[in-house]
Amino acid sequence: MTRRIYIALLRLHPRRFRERFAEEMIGIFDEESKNGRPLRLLVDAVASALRQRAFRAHGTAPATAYTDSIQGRAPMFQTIEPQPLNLAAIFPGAAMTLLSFAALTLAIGRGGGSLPGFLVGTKHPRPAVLPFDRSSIMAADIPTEVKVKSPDPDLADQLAKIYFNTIRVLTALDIDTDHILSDREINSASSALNGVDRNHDGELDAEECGFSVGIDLRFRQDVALIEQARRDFMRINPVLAVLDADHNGRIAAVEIQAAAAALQALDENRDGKLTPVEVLPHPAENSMPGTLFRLPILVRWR
Amino acid sequence: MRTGEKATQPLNPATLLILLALAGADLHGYGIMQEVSRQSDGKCRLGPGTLYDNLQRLIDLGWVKELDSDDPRRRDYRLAPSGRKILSAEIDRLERVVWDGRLRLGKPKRA
Repeated sequence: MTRRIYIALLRLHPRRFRERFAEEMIGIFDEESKNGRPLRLLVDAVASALRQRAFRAHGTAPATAYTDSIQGRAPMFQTIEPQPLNLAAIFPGAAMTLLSFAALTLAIGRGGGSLPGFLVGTKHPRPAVLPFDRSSIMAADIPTEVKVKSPDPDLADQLAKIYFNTIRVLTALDIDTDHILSDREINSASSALNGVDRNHDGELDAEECGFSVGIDLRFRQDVALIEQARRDFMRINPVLAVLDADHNGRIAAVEIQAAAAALQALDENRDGKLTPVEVLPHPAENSMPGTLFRLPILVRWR
Repeated sequence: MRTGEKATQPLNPATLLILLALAGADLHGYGIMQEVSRQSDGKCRLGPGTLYDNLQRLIDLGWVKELDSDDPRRRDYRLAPSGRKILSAEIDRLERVVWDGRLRLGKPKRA
């Protein structure tokens, strides 16, 4: 069996080498097999075949430089190289090509977005190489339709719950705690707001409406900063903003008396009740430049 | 065909061992392998592929001649005069290396 393998390996050698030495190599194999060491010769044959194919020239005699020459005329064809193609060079050339191709394939596969976009197969092709699907001369409006996914009802309910518990005025107004201010609750707003007046001074300041300074000592010591935060708090929350008609940061007794009418201004769809959509602050208002107060809820959906 | 001494020195180890093996007598391929193993106390073993790769080159250079034989599986090889000249030059070079080495290391020359 090993002898057949050895002969097969010898057939991989170039013809010139094989015709010259194959018989002798088989003779040596037979001698070595008697000593029980044929495996070493198999390895030697593999290495020899690679060496002869890759590094040894077994070409034919140099071809003539002129393939067609007519006496007295210029030759019809002349090769640049006086030597014919070296067949032994094909093997290392093929090996280098395969290695380069494998390396390029690996780079494309593993590159992802980290490699430059000129590599084929990456996720970020250059716009310049994209095909044109319309003329750039003929101007045309591109019909664009943006579809916004509807908010998750559960998420909306959770946000409304948090917001109504944060703003004390809303907690007082929402008597049935359904996070909707019905027309009945709106009409009884004045009496509900009076219940929020803890110090019984007849008006509601920011703290009574739900404003809290927090535990940051540096912030607590800055009176001007706190006053600014109070005004922001009263301005950002839609319910407080409409109740504080004169925008002085306090809901005066007169404004409490006119609470029902003020709240109805928030009823955008005129259905007689205020839903969380109409009550929650708008993110743009909450992130205005110079605004110190930040609400825990930054989302308002429609 | 390269035959110049300067162009060939130093010889590679396999070539030197083959030329040394053929310097004593004409040998066939398996005989060269055994002689190389004997000269190196079994430390150096030439495989057939390495042997005939070198033999082919030495024949092309004209340093070794292939003798006529009726048995294609056992052909003898002989060291040609040019090969003997190359081998002699290599031995001289190695002698100079050994002499210079001993001189630098301060080791006395063996008797």
